[in-house]
Amino acid sequence: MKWIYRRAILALLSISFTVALTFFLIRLMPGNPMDYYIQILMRSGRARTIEEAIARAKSLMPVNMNDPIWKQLLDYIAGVLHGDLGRSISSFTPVSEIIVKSLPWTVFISSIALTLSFTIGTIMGLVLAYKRGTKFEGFSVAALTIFGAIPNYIMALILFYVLTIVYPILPMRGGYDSLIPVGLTFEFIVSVITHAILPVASYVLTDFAGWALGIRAMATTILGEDYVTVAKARGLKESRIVTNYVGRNSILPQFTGLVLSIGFLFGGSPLVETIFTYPGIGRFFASAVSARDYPLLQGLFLVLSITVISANLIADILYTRIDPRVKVGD
Amino acid sequence: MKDGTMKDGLRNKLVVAFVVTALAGALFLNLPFTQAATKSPVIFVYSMEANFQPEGHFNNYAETGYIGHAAVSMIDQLAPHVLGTTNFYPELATNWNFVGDWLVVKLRTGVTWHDGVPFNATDVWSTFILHKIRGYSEWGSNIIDDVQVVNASAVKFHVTGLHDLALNWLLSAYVNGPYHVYKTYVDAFIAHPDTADAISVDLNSFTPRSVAQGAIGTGPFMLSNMTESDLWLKKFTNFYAADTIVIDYIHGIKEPSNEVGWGYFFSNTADWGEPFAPVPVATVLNATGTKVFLAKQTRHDFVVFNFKNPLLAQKTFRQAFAYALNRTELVLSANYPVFHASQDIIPYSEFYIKNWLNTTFLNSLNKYEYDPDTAKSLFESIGLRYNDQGQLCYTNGSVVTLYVKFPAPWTDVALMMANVATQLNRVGVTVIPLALDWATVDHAMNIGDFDLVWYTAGGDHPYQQGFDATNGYGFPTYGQFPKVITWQGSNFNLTKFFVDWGKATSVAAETPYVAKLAQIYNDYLFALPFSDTDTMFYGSGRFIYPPSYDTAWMCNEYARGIIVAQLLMPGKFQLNMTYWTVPTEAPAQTPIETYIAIGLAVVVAILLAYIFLVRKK
Repeated sequence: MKWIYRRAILALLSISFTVALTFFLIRLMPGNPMDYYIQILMRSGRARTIEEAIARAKSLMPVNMNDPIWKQLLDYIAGVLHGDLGRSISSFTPVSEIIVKSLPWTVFISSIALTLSFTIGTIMGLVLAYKRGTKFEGFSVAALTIFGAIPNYIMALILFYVLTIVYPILPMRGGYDSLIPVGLTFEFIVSVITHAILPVASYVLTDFAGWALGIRAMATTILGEDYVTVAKARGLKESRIVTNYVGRNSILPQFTGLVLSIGFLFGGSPLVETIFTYPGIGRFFASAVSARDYPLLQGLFLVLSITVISANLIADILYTRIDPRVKVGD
Repeated sequence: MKDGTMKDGLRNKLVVAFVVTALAGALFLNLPFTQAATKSPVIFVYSMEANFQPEGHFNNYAETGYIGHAAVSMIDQLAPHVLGTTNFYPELATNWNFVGDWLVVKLRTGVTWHDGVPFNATDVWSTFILHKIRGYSEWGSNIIDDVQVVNASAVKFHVTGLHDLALNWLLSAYVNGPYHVYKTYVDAFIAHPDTADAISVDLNSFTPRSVAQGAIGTGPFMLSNMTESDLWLKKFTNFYAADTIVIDYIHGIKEPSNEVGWGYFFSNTADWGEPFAPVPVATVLNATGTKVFLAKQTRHDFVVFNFKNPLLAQKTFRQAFAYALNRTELVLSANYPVFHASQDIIPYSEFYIKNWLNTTFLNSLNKYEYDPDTAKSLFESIGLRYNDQGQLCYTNGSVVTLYVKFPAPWTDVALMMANVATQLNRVGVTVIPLALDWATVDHAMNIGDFDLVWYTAGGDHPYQQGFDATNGYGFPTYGQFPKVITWQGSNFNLTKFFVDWGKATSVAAETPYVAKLAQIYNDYLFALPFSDTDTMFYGSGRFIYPPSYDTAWMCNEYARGIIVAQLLMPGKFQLNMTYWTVPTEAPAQTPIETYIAIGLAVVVAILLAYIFLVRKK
């Protein structure tokens, strides 16, 4: 148990360190929210003179913007400890409200995508390992390598073009049809599901290949192990060998990757969510970086840090349960 | 008997299955006709680049979350300025005239806010008080120093100078500060004018009430719903000219990028918008299912020189730069039809000033036609020289190197700025293009961290640019003019020039100033205009648009106000009735589906007759 406490304390320290680091890093980016907003006002013609633009931009900035950086950090940490993540500069909405609203959408599509890509990838990898040396394997591995190399936002653009423009069979934007009242109705649920198909497909089509190639490599090694040969000699069913002997042993490294991926579920993909105008957290990442929206960026990185580091901790703990060979000394 | 029963049961099931299938088939095949017979609400889908306010709330004076575009149809102006002319189109103001230094504006009567509260002069007054709190230009630039309510349907502004510009700014203002909504802030400012900054900050987080209850504006459309990506406006039935509005709803959809925005049009999802298509020009102009409109020369693009760089501070170097640049090649490099090479190197060359200045005068200005030899000799005339590799060098032998910064996300601009580098390299000037994200470019512009930077500006009153140039002095993007320049052999005080201009109260009195400004720009080249740029709109086939661009429809905001004008002007924006209602003429031939449907219906009828009549016997 001591080991778990130590790991938990280490995780807390890691989160604190990450929060402080990101606080400084985002301020090292060239530009700042005020410069950005001044130019927005001037370019759009909404401010007629530079003085007007400056005056209006000033009203948006947090009151402590001119304080020393260390004081701003202390204010931020104090706010976080009180559950106050500040207000977004670009929408003047409380950051916590943005996160609470957008996070479920991202987790919804990311978790489905992760489950599908992991399941499909694992099954495909096992099949490929079992069919090693065949033409099917060669062709599949080549195809998987190509799919795995395509970034998810490129896949999203391809799907957007093919399935919403050339063959318009799926919705092209949003989390649901805005004409349908929000509620637990069949119509609304169907709308949510159909709107999630393309973002999910963008992730699955580019992610499953990684899982498949990973488990194929592991399973190919295990297939050469003596205990597999013995199992075959004992005349066990092929399916039992594939699942119980090969599958179970080759899935351990995959499992670590899976748990770590769960942490990243909460970050979403800025580009995929932007392409499909999906109301998730990734879209806010993209806009917050563009507008140098410091409070929003800090809040989003805080969520991401907590989830990734927590996922690491959970992976460490669970690994000892899944693989009895792993021992942790107190 | 048992076999017979089973056979009967099976037969009955088959008959029932057949009947159900036949009925369903008949209904399905008739569905298109059923749909065509139903008149849907007319929804106009407007694809827009915009930031949306927090879901469910709308505050006209939240500095963030400006939504523009379609949303401007929620609010009215007093009288929008018709760009390129000296005319105004009456909206909330029906009449205006100067009485001495007071501009008296008479207001339309019978107008109500979207929440039903009658509109009156106090609302105009409170709007301008809110402008004052925010530091809007008409106050900060000393265009006005007072606004008063005359009576319920008239206000007056005390204009301190520049009557023409005052008209432009005051009449074009959106009236969006209803007193009954913003009373707390307006009253607080009247009581304590020194607390304007604090009130201004508070205004951002004010959410008057829910969208459904809120007084948003007096315009033809009222806010119905708003999410992070969707804006819904519905027709305001109490609008003073509601009978001219042919649309029931406007659905504003957020356009996340050009690539995606173009998809909205290519798939016929959007009815209106202005995405820059990531495809060749011919594809844009010939795209199926879309109509393309060019609003002519709504802005111009230019390269700004940073005067902090001693080389760029020299007029001769800037002029050499202008000769070295083939503007036609430059605009063609973007491969997009909205850019046109600037002909007269003056601000807003094709758009505004030409309404003030005659052709003879314009022809007297230097055209800076592409002439690389002149460029080279001008470079050498200021002591620069070429090394063995043909690179332009300082006298100490170091190579002249300039950095041009521009926003990478705007790919057409990136292509053009890369071309600037290519062309300047041809005459030996080493120009390095730096494609950066918007915030970085904006920061560089604000602090003057550039040699050359791309910029764009929309058409407006010529005084305004001069005003920015002098009052924004020291601000790198806008105020590159020193206050006193050497021009035509003597010192020329620009501050005095604009102060004098400010006293002019008629177009005739202002014209000499406009001419002089054009000459100064043309000679001094604080920035180099290279493109008189159009705005390209896309429209779907679901509506009938004006046959051609007409400046009269370009009310403001870089032509985006066109949509408001079109919605308001009878006969300018109509429904394509073949889409929205049952065709007025019967189809020439009965579609085959109808015969099939009738055939199926007959079969069903015979089967039903057999089942209920023949078999019973």
